[in-house]
Amino acid sequence: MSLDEGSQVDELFERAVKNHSRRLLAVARGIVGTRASPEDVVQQALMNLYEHRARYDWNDPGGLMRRSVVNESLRILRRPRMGMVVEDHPAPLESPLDGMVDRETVAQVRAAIERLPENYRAALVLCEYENMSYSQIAEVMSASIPQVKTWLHRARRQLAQLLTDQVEKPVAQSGEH
Amino acid sequence: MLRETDQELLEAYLDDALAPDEVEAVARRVAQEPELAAAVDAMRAERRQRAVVWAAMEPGEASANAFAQSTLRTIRRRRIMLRISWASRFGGAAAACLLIGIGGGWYMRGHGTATPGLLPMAPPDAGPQQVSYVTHPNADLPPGAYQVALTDQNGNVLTVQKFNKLEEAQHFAQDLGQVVERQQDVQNGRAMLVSDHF
Repeated sequence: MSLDEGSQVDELFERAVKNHSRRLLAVARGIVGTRASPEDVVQQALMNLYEHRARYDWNDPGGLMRRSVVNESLRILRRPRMGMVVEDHPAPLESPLDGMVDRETVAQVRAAIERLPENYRAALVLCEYENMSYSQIAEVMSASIPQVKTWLHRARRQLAQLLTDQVEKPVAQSGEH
Repeated sequence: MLRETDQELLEAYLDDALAPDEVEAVARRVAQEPELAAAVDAMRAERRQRAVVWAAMEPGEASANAFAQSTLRTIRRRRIMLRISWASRFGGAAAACLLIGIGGGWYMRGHGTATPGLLPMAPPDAGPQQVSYVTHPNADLPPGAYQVALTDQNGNVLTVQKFNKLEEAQHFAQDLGQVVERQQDVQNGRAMLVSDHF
């Protein structure tokens, strides 16, 4: 890589970091939940990419960066549990969907998502937050399309079951008294 | 109770993962079968709940920008540290001089010898004595661009980092100055290098 090429790659890399950080942080947060700091995950993922930046095409880096963040998130989740991170940015006060879904429900859904197996959670975040196709998710997660479909299906069914359990449990408990 | 295959089909339908003819077929079935219609409604409601959760995961624009800047600073520092280590190992000369090129001029900080061709001038916001401002007749920078160059004691440029904001260039030069000073302290036996990370 010549000096000029190197500096061009550096500029493209910096632009990519500035343009994609927000969504990458959200993806990391969705996958690692409170198990790790999303900032640490994304920073490490970006450093890994920077180390080998000359190998990649930085003109369309979205998929590459997402793949790196997903891999780093899953790598961190597979390490022995170290502790929980404090939630440093609560849900925005005004969201267009707030009127339709109450805060307690959001908290319950969020807690249920955190209880899903890591691959299910990652596939769900990429599908529903990043609006990625099954084939894109399969590529990012180094999996087959049928495997992605299975993860998504199981994630959604488990979530529905977890939320049903949460709703039924307080009712059952109050019925005991 | 909906069959599992129908559940998967409806999920693919809502994920926009079906071919046009399959979409039509599912839409027809949904219109004709109340159980399927109810399942689609329930799935849509679940997705709306999750959409709020996904939206809440996004950091604000300002904090995302701050994160990006901080990450880029960390990466630049690492890169410079590697260059300094490399220069110390193979060149023998300690990296010592910082230059900020400001679209046609150079802003110099440090103890090294100035690059040949640089003319000392008073800096616009000169701080302590060690800061001087020099012009560079051959600076190849567009207007509004800045770059920080790390040189060795002979004035040879080891590496250059470009910036679009003077503030970022100055911040980086300050960081770099600290690294260089620490490196010199280590080489002069005044400090012990415990870690390259800071």
